[in-house]
Amino acid sequence: MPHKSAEPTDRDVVRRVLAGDINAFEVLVARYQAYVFSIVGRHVPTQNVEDVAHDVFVRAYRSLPKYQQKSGVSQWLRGIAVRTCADFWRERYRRREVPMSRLGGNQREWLENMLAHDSVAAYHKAARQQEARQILNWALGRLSAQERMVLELVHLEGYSVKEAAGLLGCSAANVKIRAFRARKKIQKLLADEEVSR
Amino acid sequence: MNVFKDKFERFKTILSAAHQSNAPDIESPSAQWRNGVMRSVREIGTPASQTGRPADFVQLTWRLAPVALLLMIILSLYIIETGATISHQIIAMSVSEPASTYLAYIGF
Repeated sequence: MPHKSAEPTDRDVVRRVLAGDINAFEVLVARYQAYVFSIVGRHVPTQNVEDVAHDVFVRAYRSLPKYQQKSGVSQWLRGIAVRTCADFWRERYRRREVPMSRLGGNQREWLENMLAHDSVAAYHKAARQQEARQILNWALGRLSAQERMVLELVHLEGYSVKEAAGLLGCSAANVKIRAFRARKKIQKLLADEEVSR
Repeated sequence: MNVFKDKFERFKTILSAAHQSNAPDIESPSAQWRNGVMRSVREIGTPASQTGRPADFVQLTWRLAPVALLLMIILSLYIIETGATISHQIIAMSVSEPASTYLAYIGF
């Protein structure tokens, strides 16, 4: 992230906070809030984005003494943000707050029409529609919290298995297994929808 | 199954595009939100005072596990090679007559 020369660098800010200047942390919050919101916003419902982003910065502050200067603040914050989102879903699933409703008739018809298309442009145009978001939530709601995050990172955002493992703080083998399971579950969902029509 | 594989790829493309367009409407969070973060941070105190937590102790314990294992192997080999029979006798005595063994041990 580019900074003006007069502004303190991220490294300076971290050093000041660790030296006891708590208020200096606000510089990092102001600098990276939009970045963190953009990550969190892709993984949790809109109404929860502010709370989860709040937790991300509090976690970041707590783990500041462990921050390795060799990786940039943005990369470090990205990992914390992804893990906080994973914890958000784990908590939601534990409380069974994830809706498990079936696809409605209109959504099913829309999905069938889309699956019949071959054009990528058509997918992107359709993805902006409300049905796409509903189907996305329906599909993700069928997965476990970890599978959900792995599917989002690996299959939907295009991260490599190694990168996703780094962000989630688990092994690459773990991510591979979860990605495979998530893929199988989605394929089964599609097969079930096919049968129930 | 190839039909479903193909469908999954198409489905993935739709979901991926929907996921990417799922960006939040909140462009810049409010000052109130930032104040809330700073309030939480001030309640925590200086981050330097967070060191020495139990999590660090657990990490240290696991790091020392190979050393502990090595020590156990060396001690086991040592006991097998040297005074294993004496220890065995003492254990056998203390199991059969615990009170008298203890009294003898403390010099009664």
